[in-house]
Amino acid sequence: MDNNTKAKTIVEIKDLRVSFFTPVGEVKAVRGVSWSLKEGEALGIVGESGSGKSVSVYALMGILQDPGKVIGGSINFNNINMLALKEKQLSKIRGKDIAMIFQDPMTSLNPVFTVGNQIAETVMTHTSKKLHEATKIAVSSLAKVHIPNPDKRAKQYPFEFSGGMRQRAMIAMSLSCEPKLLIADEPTTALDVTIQAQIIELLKELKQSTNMGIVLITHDMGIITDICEKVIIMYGGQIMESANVRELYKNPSHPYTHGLLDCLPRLVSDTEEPLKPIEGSPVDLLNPPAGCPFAPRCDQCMKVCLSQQPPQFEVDIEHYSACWLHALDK
Amino acid sequence: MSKRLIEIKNLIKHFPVKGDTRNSKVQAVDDISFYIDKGETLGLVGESGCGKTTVGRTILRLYEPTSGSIIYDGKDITKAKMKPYRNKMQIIFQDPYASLDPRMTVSGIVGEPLVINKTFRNKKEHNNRVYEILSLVGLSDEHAQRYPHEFSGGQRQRIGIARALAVRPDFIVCDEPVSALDVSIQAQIINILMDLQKEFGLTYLFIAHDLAVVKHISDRIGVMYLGKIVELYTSAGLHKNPMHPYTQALLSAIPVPDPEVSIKKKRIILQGDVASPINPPKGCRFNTRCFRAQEKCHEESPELLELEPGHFVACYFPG
Repeated sequence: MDNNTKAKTIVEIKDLRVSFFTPVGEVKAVRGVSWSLKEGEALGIVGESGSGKSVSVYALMGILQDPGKVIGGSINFNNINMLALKEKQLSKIRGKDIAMIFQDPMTSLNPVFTVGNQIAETVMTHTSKKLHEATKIAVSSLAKVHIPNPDKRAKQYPFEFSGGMRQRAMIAMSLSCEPKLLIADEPTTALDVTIQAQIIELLKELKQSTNMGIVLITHDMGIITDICEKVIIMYGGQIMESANVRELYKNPSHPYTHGLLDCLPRLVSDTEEPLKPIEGSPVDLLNPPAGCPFAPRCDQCMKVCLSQQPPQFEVDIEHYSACWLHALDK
Repeated sequence: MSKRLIEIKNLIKHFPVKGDTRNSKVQAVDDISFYIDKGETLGLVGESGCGKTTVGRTILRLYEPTSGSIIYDGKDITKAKMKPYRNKMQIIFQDPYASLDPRMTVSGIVGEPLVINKTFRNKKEHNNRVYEILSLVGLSDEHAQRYPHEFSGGQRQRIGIARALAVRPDFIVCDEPVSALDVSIQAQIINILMDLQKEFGLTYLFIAHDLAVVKHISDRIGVMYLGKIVELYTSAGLHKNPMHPYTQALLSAIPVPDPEVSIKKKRIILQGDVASPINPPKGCRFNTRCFRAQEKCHEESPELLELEPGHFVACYFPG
C-alpha cells in the first residue's frame, strides 16, 4: 500500500454511460460509472448479471458489440483518451498494453491453431519479433503459468488441454506482451472449485511478480478477498459502494452490499436459520427506476429513494456508498 | 422412526464411447450405494464429470443402469415399468432457460403433468390446482397465462419447481437448481425448496457443486470423485471433520468472503486435473492428485468404510 502514493494512475474512467440501442428500446447498461486504477493495484468489480460490470470494461477495451454505444463520460488509459481512438489505433493497444482473459476458456482459443502458435501470433502482431523468437516467448509464457512440459504443450491444440489448462494458456497469452493492465472477466466461473483455487493462486503470484494493474470482474465475493485491494459493488448499471476490500467487509454500508453478504450460505456458520434472500427481481434496464436502482428491492427504502438518485456519500476514507440513508447520518 | 424411501445398491452406469472401436466405456458411475430416508435431504457434491447428475438421472430411470439395483419405498424399480412411479418421483433441472418449453404458457407447463395423470375432473379444477401450485412457489394467478420468456431466471426456476410439485411427488431430484441463478436469487429458491419440504414432507436428492449451498440444505452429504462416493457423512460432521483428502481439499478451496478468515485459511492446492472417466487410474481414482497417496493407493481401490457411526470414508489413509 505504501508505494501506492507514488504509483502512477493507469486507468481513469469518469461518468461512463453505455447504452444498447435495441429494437425494443434503449437498454441503459452503464449509467454514470467512475473509477480509477493505479499500477500494481488490483480492483474487483462485483455485481450480478445485468449490473453492467462487464460492459463497463468492454467500453474501456473498445470491444463493445453493436448495438452498444458509449453515450457519455471519458475513459483514460495511460494518458490516452481511449474514446477518441480509431479501431486501428485501438488494436495496437489491445493485446499489448491491455490484455483480457475471458470467462469461457473453451471458446476463447482458436481450435485450428496450436496453443504456442496463437501466443506467438500475439507477440508478432505487437512486436517486430520473428516467428522463431516469438515461439520462444510463447514457451516461456507457458512456463510462467506453470504448464508442465511447455515445449511439448506449445505444439498441442486447445482440445488437448483441459479447462484449467486452457485458462492458464489464456493467461500466458495475455502476459506474453507484458501488459500494463490485465482485465479478467469472470476468469474462474467456468472452472471447478479445485481448479479455481489453482488459477487464483496463479493470479496472486503474477500480481506480486509484475507491476501490472488488474481488474477482476466477478459475482463471487469470495474471490475478491483473495486478490484485490479495492472493490466496487455494482447494481443496475451504477456503483452502489466502493472501498478498500478489508474496509468493505468490516464495515459494509450499502443495503445491497449487506444483502449480498447475508444471502449466501456460509460454510463456517452452524446456524439452521433460513437464508435472508434479497426479495424481488433484478432491475429492468429498459426502464430503470428514476431513483436508486436498488430501491424496489431494498428493505430500508424511503420516499426519496424512489424519486432521486443518491450521490456517493463518503462514509469513511476512500469508502463511498450511494445510499440516502447516509444523508440521515449527517 | 424414519423409513428408507430410496435405496441404491452397487449402482453402475457406463456410457459407450461413440465411434470407438476398442469398446471403451465412460465409467460415469461406478459401484455406488446409499439410501435416503423419508423427509431427508441427501446432498451430492463433486466437480464436473464426477457422475453426480448421472446418479440422479439413473435413480429416476431417465438413464438405464448398467447394473445394480434401485429400490423405491421397498419396491425394486430397477426393471419395473416406471409409469406408476413417475408422479412419485420428479426432477428440477439446472437450466431454467432450457428446461421450459418456450411455446407453452406457464399454465400449460405446470398443468401438463396434471393432464397426463388425469388428476382433475374439469377445467376449473385443473386451473385451481395450477393456481394453488403457483402460489406455493410465490407466483400469482396472473402469471399463469404468460410465456417463459417473460420471466427472469429466478422466476423460471420457480415455474420448474411448480411443475415438479404438480403431481404431489414424494421424492424430487434437484439437479443444480440454483447454480444458474444470481446470488441474490439463489437464497430465494433455496428457502422455497426448504419450506416446501417442511410442508409436504418431501425427500430430496440435492445435486450441486457449491458446498456451502449443499451444507445449508442437506442433512447428509455424499462427496463424489470420478464416479465413486469418497466420503459420506452428516453435513455438520463433514465440515467439522472431513477425513478424505479430496473432501479436505474441496473445503479448503472455497474462497471465503471475509478477508480476516481468508488470510488465516490454509489452502490445499491440488495439483493437476481430474483424470478421465474413460480410463480412470488404477487403484484409488484420486491417487493422481492426492497429497497423501502411497504405493498401496496406486494398486488397490479403497472401499467405502464406516469409520465412526454414519461416517463413511473410502481412503487407506484417512485423517
